[in-house]
Amino acid sequence: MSRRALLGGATAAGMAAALTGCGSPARDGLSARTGGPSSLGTVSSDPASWGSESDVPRLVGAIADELAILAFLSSARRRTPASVLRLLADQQRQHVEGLKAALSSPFTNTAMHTPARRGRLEGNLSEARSLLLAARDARRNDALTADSGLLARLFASVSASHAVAAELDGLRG
Amino acid sequence: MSAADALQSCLAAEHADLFGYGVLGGVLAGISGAAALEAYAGTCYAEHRARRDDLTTLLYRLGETPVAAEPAYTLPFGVSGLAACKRLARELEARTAAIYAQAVAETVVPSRAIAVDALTDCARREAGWGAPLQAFPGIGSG
Repeated sequence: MSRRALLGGATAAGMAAALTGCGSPARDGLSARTGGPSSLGTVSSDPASWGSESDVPRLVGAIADELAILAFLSSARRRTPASVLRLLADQQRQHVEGLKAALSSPFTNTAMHTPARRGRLEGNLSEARSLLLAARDARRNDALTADSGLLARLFASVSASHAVAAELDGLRG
Repeated sequence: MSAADALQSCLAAEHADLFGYGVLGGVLAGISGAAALEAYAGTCYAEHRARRDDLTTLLYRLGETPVAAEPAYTLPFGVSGLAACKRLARELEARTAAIYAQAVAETVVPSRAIAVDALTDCARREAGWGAPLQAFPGIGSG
């Protein structure tokens, strides 16, 4: 997924609604609203920006996490031809590419944790599910703490993807 | 878009979803052998209703006037069979996921936490209605 594609996704919320209020401009009226109480808060940096320097370590860490999961899935897939592992590996590759695209420059020297590997299919699937659940929580935390609104959105989306993947029939015990 | 606007958009989406699931429930109830899907639609409806109430409360506390539901909504297509029901549910969830994703970008905690968790819930429900696995729910397919 290209950075352009991700940025293009920023307009997703503006896509045509599946349901539209009958004869009412409520949504238009909403979009015309401006401002709000300060207690609502705003993102600390421009939400349309890919972010502040403080987000870089968070992003690099997330890429490392996601790469480690990709490494595990790719390895497990070679040893156990479960289709769910192929599906997850393909998705995981997109996560890594999407997060990398959010970096303005290539990262290097990222420490990678390689998850423990087991030989049996059940072990692989169980391990994959554990990794996905951990990644779901980690990316959720990243989303909550990111300074950049766009980066928070990306982390939240990846977290949601992991949450769904962890519940795939092929992974649940 | 301000944080308040983003949350109001989420609330408006929840209102629309509740209408959509109401329609789905009625259609599914009339389809023989669709009891499990009807029950799932009921579960989804309850989850959306809980989100609606949470957002309404949050907006009140923030000094905002929560946007009200429309008197009626126009369905994007006719809903008369199982396939159409599933498609409508997927579209509802996908659209709402995109709105929550935008809200994530526009808010800070604690409001952002609501948007993050709601985005995950939408993605989970969309998958429950048969959507394929997505790398970037709410943002777009990779």
